[in-house]
Amino acid sequence: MNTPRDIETLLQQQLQHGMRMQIRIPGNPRYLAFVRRLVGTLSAAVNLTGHPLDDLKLAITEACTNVIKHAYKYDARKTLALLVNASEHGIVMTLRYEDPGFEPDKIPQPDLSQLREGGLGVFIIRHVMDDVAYFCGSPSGTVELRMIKFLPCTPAERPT
Amino acid sequence: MKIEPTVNESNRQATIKIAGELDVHQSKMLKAAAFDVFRDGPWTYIFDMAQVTYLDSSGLGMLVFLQKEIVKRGGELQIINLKDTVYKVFELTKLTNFFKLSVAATPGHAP
Repeated sequence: MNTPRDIETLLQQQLQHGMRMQIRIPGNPRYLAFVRRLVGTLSAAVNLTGHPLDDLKLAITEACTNVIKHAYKYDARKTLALLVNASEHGIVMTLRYEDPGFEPDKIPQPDLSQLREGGLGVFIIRHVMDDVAYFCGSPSGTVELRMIKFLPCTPAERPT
Repeated sequence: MKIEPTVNESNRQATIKIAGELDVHQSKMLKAAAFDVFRDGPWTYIFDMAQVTYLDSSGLGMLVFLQKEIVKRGGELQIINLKDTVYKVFELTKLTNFFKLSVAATPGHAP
């Protein structure tokens, strides 16, 4: 069986041929650090580092944590599929999981004037990513969360 | 994640040095370590987060929970040496208003 370190090495080799990664992880919080490392490896391949990379790691961890806690209720037999596409324009992270009945419009806005222990995950994701969208309503109950971070463009690339 | 608690009974002060990534998986370890040193009364608890490289809403939630517990026991919590990337999460969620935060004025740390 491959260890997370083996998988990271394989991923780095694959990245030389294309900036796309798809993995499936168990609904267990112990894999969150591993997911952050993978996203970091992929982002480095398109020279995305520093604060934007911190934002990506924060967003993907918040997203996976929400699924594990609220949709899967820590049932590690259930899995999440993570797809990351990196290009010179930015990073697109797509998380696919099962949550029949999920209604993203009903996620409450946190009241930041109150001291609170939870309910901040989606607020953080929306704040650190440039575009966030949920796609749901399929008969199978599959939910897709798409998060995009654009890379800063150079003056030559900027549209006139 | 690594946690090193130090208790000074005469000063009524306990320092917990935390190193690593504070997410939902690791924050339970912090809870256990903190409850080991918690005492009733006017104690000061210092969480030294100089070596914390990642914090998310689950880690924040645990810090909020521990602060509430400390206040309930009559104590006070100070969180020191936050890195930029970690301080930013406090700022984003406006929790800077609720915690006594002390940040080192060195490169890589919040102002």
